[in-house]
Amino acid sequence: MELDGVVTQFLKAKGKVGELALEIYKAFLKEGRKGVDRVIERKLREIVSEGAKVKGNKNKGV
Amino acid sequence: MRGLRLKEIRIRGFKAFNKEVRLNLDYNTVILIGPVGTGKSSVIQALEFALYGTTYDVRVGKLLKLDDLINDFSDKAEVTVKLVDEEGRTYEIIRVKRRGRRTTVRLLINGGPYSGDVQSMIEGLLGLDHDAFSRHILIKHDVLNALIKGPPLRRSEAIDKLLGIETLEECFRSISLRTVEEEISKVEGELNNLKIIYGGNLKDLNNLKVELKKLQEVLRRKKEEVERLEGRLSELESKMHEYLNVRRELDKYETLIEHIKEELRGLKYGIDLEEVKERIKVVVEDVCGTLEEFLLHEEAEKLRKALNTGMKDTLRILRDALYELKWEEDKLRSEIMEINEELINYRNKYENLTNNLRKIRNRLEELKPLVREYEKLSEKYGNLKNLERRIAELNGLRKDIEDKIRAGEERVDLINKVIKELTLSGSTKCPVCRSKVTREKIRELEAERDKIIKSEYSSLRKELERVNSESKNYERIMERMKELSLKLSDYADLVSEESKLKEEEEDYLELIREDEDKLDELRFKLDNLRKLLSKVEGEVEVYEKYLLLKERLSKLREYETKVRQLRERLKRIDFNEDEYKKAIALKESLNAEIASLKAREKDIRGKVEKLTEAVTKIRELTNILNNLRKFKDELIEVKNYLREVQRVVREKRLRDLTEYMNYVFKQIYVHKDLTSLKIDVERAKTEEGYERSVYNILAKRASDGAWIPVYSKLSDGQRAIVALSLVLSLFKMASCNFMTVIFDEPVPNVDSKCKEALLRMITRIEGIEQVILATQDEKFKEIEGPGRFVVYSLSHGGKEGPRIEEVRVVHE
Repeated sequence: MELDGVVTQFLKAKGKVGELALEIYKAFLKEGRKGVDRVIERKLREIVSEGAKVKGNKNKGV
Repeated sequence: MRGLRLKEIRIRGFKAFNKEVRLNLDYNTVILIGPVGTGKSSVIQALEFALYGTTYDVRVGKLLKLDDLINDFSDKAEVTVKLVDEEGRTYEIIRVKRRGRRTTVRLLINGGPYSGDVQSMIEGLLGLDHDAFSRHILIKHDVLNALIKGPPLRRSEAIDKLLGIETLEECFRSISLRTVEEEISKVEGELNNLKIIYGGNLKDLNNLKVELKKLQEVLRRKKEEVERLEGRLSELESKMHEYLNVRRELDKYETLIEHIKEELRGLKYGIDLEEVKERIKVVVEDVCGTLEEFLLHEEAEKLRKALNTGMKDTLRILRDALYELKWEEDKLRSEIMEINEELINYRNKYENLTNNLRKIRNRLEELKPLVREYEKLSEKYGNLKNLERRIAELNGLRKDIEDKIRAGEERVDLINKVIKELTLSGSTKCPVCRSKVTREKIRELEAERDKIIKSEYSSLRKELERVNSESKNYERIMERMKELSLKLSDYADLVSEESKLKEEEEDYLELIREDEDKLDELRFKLDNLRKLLSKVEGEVEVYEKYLLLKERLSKLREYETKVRQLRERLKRIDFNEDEYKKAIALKESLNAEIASLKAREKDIRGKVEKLTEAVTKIRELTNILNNLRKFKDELIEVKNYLREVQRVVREKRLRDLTEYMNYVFKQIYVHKDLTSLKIDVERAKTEEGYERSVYNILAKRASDGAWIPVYSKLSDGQRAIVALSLVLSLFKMASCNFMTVIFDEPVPNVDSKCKEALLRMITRIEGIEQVILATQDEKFKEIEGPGRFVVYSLSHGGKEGPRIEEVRVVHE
């Protein structure tokens, strides 16, 4: 079995974090280090925006 | 499927090659020998370019761009590679790169063009992508060097590359936690700042919320109270509006009553209607009489009839009649004014006439003496015609006398002439009768001459003087008479003018008298009319007052009734002004209280909102922070997974690799001091500070059976053979269809026996049908290779590119 197949099978078996790892691995194969940075930055943005959503909901209750 | 091998290559405009070169590669072993810069590597890179459209240095090393592959003296690089499979099918790949343009590729299968995705087709045929080709087929000197030279970590990286697991390692290293840590640090900073700013106040938030609720409750109650009050105020206001409207109406009528009473005080009370009627009858008769005087019979008749219809009509028509009479009065006044103007005009004219008459009379007086003088002269000399006749007679007489004098003077001149001639010549002819006259006649002639001069001539002259004198006298008188006759004419004219003016003066005097009489008459009429009008107007005024009085009394009664009704209505409305004022004051007080409460509520609400916002922000930041930390943990876990998968793959590949490597090593290494190889894996820290696997290749020494480290204990040549064994075993592990391996300067420090063994061994490896080897080592020319064998010698060839010579060929 080729390397990509082995890696995919291995990471898929690792649950949610494995999916993240696979996403990063595929981004690396496609764009190298930039692709990995892009995934991390996107995840960071998601985390920050998720926080902002919490703020909006709380404000409604005031 | 294995089975493809190289058959031929044609290169033009690629790297060192400008002019086209063609190499027959249809051998088991192809050796390219030549010194540095003769194009050996260019041939190998041309192969790589033809198969994949790029080279390792361009795609991975990033050392070159595609345009750098084009020869400096050419505008395009074109490489054609022919491959053949075990069944004899040919595949021709033509790859062209023009400067500044995209690379084009064509594939001919058995001479026919392939119309699908050519690159995919090529990679499918070979069973290799470019990475695998670089790893398994093209074995470069620097790759082998990396395996046997340099620090352990670099060597391990090179082995990872060959094992194909360097991607996992690089991916592992690409995952940087720094960005996440920076974000965490930033959020922690924000969170700390918020806690510093709001930390103390956050405890008050609940108290403030309770206070806000209480305030809102009080506000609600106050608002309800205001609403109730507003309901009552609305009722009161409705009553108040009605009350005020009625009050306003009442005031209006009371004012009107006051006004009428005031008016009534000014009017006469106790006027007798019968007496008024009698007086009006008299007035009407007077007015009718006057109307008739002014020939207004119709109006007079109308007025008389109105007397029987009613007082109001009588008064109205009497008013009309009065207007008519006033108009007549105006007419009279205008007439008087006109006559007055006319009279003034006549008087002025009369005065002018009198002045002119006086002037004419004065002038007549002046002319009278001249008239008398003329009459006297006429008596004495007759009229002007007589005088003219007499002057003409005298002029005739004077002419006769003058003729006689002239005849006498001619006779004297003639006598003097004859005398003169006689005196001079003694004789002459008579100028009259032409008879001869002699000197004796001189005396006679002189006597005759003297007689003429003394007697005739003298008396004639005296007579002429008298006639002249008389004539002048007559002429003077005539001139005077002419002058006087002119004056006489003036006098006559003046007399005539005087008579005419006198008549005119009398006419004007008559006109003046007439106008004066007329004026007296009109003035008398006007005076009477004025008296009448004044009298009638007085009477009409009295009567009108009477009517007004009647009307006002009626209105007064009407208004008094209205006032009574309005007062009763006011009582019914039942409006309490005090209650209304108290309600207004209470409402204002409540509103002020509400405003104060609202301000307080706004203040607290602001604080609550601010604190709530801070709490939300803190909650949000905490949430973000937790998620970031979680994400960081996840990334660490991802890295661990990558390491784990790397370890799993490595273990599996190393197992296979060691087996093949030993097989290959034993074939190439012909000496007996080393028997087998193995690879140990250890953990080591990199310069960047993270751990990674480090490979340690060990060789078993035959003499004592000890495993010795290849890198430290073996010679360069031995290490090269170990590296080659490793690389070739990878080829064996690879599942590709390409039966060729390509070496670029693989074993520089290996002895000729080992080189021969290397060539032999390579072709013995299952799946390798063809070896292409580029080297500077001239010894390869003499080495015996397996199967069909060719050696090409490459040398420097100038602008057209390297020269290639076939120096040795061995056909099986």
